This record gives sequence, C-alpha cells and structure tokens, in this order.
Amino acid sequence: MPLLALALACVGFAGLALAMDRHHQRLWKRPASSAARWLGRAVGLLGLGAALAVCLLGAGGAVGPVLWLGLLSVAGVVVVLALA
Amino acid sequence: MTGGFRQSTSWVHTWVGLLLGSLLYFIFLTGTAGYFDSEIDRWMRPELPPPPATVDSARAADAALRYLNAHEAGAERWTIQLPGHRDTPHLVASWPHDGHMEEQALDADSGEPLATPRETGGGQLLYRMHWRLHYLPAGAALWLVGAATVFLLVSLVSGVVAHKRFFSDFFTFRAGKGQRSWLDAHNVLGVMTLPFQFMITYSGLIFFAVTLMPWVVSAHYGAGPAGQGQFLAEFSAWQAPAAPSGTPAPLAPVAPMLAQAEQRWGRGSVQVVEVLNPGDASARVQIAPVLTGPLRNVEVMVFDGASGALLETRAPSRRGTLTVAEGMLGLHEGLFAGPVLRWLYALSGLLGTAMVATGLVLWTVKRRQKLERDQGRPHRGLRLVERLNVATVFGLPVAIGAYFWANRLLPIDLADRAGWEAHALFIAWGATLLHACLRPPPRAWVEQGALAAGALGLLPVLNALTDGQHLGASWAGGDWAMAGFDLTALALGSAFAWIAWRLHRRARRTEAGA
Repeated sequence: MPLLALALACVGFAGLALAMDRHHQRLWKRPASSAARWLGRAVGLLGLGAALAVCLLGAGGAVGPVLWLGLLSVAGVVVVLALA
Repeated sequence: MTGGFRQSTSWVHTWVGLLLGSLLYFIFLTGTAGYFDSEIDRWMRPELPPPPATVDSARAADAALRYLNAHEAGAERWTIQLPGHRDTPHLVASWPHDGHMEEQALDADSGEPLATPRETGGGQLLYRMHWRLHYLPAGAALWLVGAATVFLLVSLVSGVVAHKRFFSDFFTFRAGKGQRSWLDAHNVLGVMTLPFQFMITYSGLIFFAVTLMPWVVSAHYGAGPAGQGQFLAEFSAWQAPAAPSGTPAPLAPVAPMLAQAEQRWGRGSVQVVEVLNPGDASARVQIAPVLTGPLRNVEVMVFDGASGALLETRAPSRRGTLTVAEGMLGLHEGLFAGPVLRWLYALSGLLGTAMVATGLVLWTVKRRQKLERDQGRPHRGLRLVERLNVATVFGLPVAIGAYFWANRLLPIDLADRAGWEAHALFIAWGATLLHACLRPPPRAWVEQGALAAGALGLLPVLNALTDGQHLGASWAGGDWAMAGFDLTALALGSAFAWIAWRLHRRARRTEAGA
C-alpha cells in the first residue's frame, strides 16, 4: 500500500514538473505546448489525489494524511534528483 | 515595498539561521535518532536476549504478576508492559519506589529476571538531548531549546517569504554550480519537507508552552510548582486512585480480563496492564491498548481486581484543547508510527538536518565566492564560521559514533558508565572542533567525513567483535532492531565515505589548479 501511494505521488510530481517549461525543455528540448502543460497538471493532481486516497483507505483518517505528507516529501526529493 | 519586505525577511533568515544553526543541527540530528530510540536501546544493551518471536499476552502478564507478587507485594501500583511491541520488545514490570519508577525486564514465559544489561544511557539519553541538551540545568536547557524553536519557526516563515520562486523552482536543483547549487539544495530540502518542518517546530513549541508562557497558568492557579501541578492534573483529567481499603484480597486471574480486552481491540493489541492497590480488596486492573494514532489519550478498560468484573470501559477524553494539544504532541513523537511511517519520520528528520547543514554551508560559500570575485581577504568571521561548520556538520556524526563506541569499549563495571558514554560524545565533538581549527577547511571536510564514515560504518564490526552479535546472527535470530541498527550504521557510513571521497577529489582538483 505505501509503495503504491509512493509510486502515484512520484507520477503526480513528475507530471507537475513536466508541465513546467524548464523541465520539459530539459527532457524534450522544447517548451511544453499548452496541451502538454494541461496534461501534466492533470496527471499531477490525479496522481497526488490518488496517493491521498490510497493512504486514507489503507491507514485511516487519522494516520493516512500523515503518511501521505511523509510520502510526498520523499517523492518530491526523488523527482528533483531524477530531473537534476 | 515588496522588495524591501522580502530583503528584510531574507536578512532575518540569514542571521537567525547562522546564529542558531549549530544548535538547530544538534536538535535535528539527535531528535531524528530519537525516532529509533528503542532500536538504539536494543543495540546498546547486547546482554538482553532477542525479543520473543511469539507472545501470549495472558502468559506474559501472569509471569510478571508472579514476579511482582514475590518481590514487590507492598507497592501501591504495578505496571506491566507486555512484550511484542516496538517500544516494549521485552516483558517489563515496574513499580514506584522513592518517587521514581523501578523496573525489571523479565522472561515472558518463566517470569525470571533477564540478564542485567550494562549501564548505558541508550537511545533514551540521545533522544533526550534534543530538548534537554546535556550538562546544562533543566531550566536553562528548556529556555535555550525553546528559544531556538521559536527562531526556527521564524526561519521557516522568513525562508518561505524570502524564497523568490517558491513554485517555479519547486523541482529545481542545478548541480555543480557553487553557490547556486547550495541555494537550490537548501530550497528544495526546505520546500519538500515543509509540512514536516512546520509540524515538528510548532508542536515542539507546544511541549514548551507551560515553560515559555508560565503566566497564563499562574494567573489562574497561582505561581509556583503547586499551581502548575494542579493545572496539569486538571488539564489531563487525571484521576487519583482510591485509597486502599486495608482488607487483603488476592488478585483475580487476569487472563479473562485480557481476553475481553483483546476481543475489543484485537489480538496482541494490549500493551499495558496496571494494577492499583495490589493485594487489597479495592484493587483495580487497568488495561490499555497499544497506540494506533497520534492521540495518546486512549480507551482504558477497568476491572475490579478482587472479583475480576469489568467495571467500566473508560472512553478517552476528547475535550477540544486537550485533543488539539495531544494531537500535536502525538504527531511530534510519532509513537503510533509503524515501520513505514517511522522511516518516513526519520527521513524527514534527516532531510531537515540536511536543510540546516546546507543553510550553514551556503552562508560561507556565498561570502567565499564574493571574496574571490573582489579578490578580497577572508574576514575573521567567515574563517570562524567555516571551521564551526565542519565541526558541526561532520563533527557531530563523529561524536554520536563515539557515543556508540564508548558503549562497547568502556569497562563494564566503570562507575557512572552511562555518564562517560555521554562524556565520550562531547569529548569527541570537542576534538573535531579542535581539528577543524587546525586544518584548512577543505581538508578538514575530507578528513572528518572519512572519520564519520569509519565511526558509523564500522559499528557492525565493533558489535561483532565485542559481543559476537554479528549481522548474520541478529538477522537469523529475527532480532530486527539489532540488525536494523547495524544496517543503518553501515548505510550512513557508506554515505559519508562517498561524500568524503567526492570532497577529496574536488579538494585535489582545487589544489592542483591553485
């Protein structure tokens, strides 16, 4: 369960990052088109939201959000290192 | 106006950070170690056997009661911590004695006392240092750490305000660009762990609320310890136990009580069994479950000790202020966290420690680069901070390593052995400061990095040589706390070795270029 949530959070953050010109440019050598930007943001919101849902279902209403925020920190650092 | 405000905020952030950076680094690192206090306790008491693989709660409780009945029949209260939980791997019986609690670890089957472990401060002393420091009187330490916590909160808020591109640099880390890279690292570490940082700082302040703001309580309860005691008792809704009746009565069997509790909370979920007025007709048995959430105020089942009848299932108090305060303190301590969440707590703590470290280094790199551009001479303050940074960032891990080495190398019968373990930590820390003052900073970083790699990475070897508790044995024996400590020390040692090697290559390149 935590691994699934971590994977979803990584996908979400990666989507949000690739919706930004700087990171899009680095990977594909051109700025993000407006469609790509919206797609990235949608993937981002869905990924982070799905990770929250998995945490809430797996760990309950009290511990789930704590788990989610902890996983977000790790996922964020992972995405930053992957893009560096 | 915006620029002016942001610049003033940035100024506050820079200087508050510099002034308190070393103390905050100490608080962060020892506090992070505190998330593994029980595992460190286990490593530092190698005489204790591995925890029992399977636990029968009723059998363990009976074993403890036999011991207490035989040795501490006159105590006003018995507390039994059942084994099989992270913070109570062994069966422990405790009782009040002269105003403090005495305790004895017991075999969960026979109730025989376990081997007396060496005298050690363990993980508890290391964890205590992050709010109580060491050597200082309690009042001074609490005020110092309290003030540092207030300023950490100031740093967090001013850091967010001073961060010009919070969202556009959200995922940005540009490596190999000197000052730019340090700023990126500092920003990314702070931004990514921001929820944890705010939670840990704000809840840390709540621990100090009564210390830092004593007049709020004094105004209603009168100044002095008596008033504070009354406030705390009322606030936590603590109930004094009834006085003993004076009529002796044997204790009813606890197995049926435990069965009722496990039926309510689940198998293996009982952690504490407390007997008030044991041996008296008015005896009460209180059974509490292991924590599964941040709120420490949990449901308790109360039984009549003489008849064994269930008297009440006491619902936890959920008054607003108490619940908010408890939620904050519970989140800070993370006692409820299972293995995954515990590692996330520890990683967040390490990332926070790294945030403080990168901030400290950034201060010096920024000034160094400016000097190189202007071809100026380093200011005395800059040279001092450069040296303090080495002794803080790499010196403290070396010192914590020395604490563990002292645990294995000091003579077992040394008087005040636990005290000397802590002295070893601070002597080693002082030595790294001296070393940092004597060596040019780029070399000092390499040498202390290598020293930290050895001090931490060789701990499994030390463990194997002094007590034969090598990784193979603890792994095969299911002693996860012992094996986990060794593996973590190995990982930390490898990380320091990698960093030291990279710094060494860079220092050599710079020397060759100069």
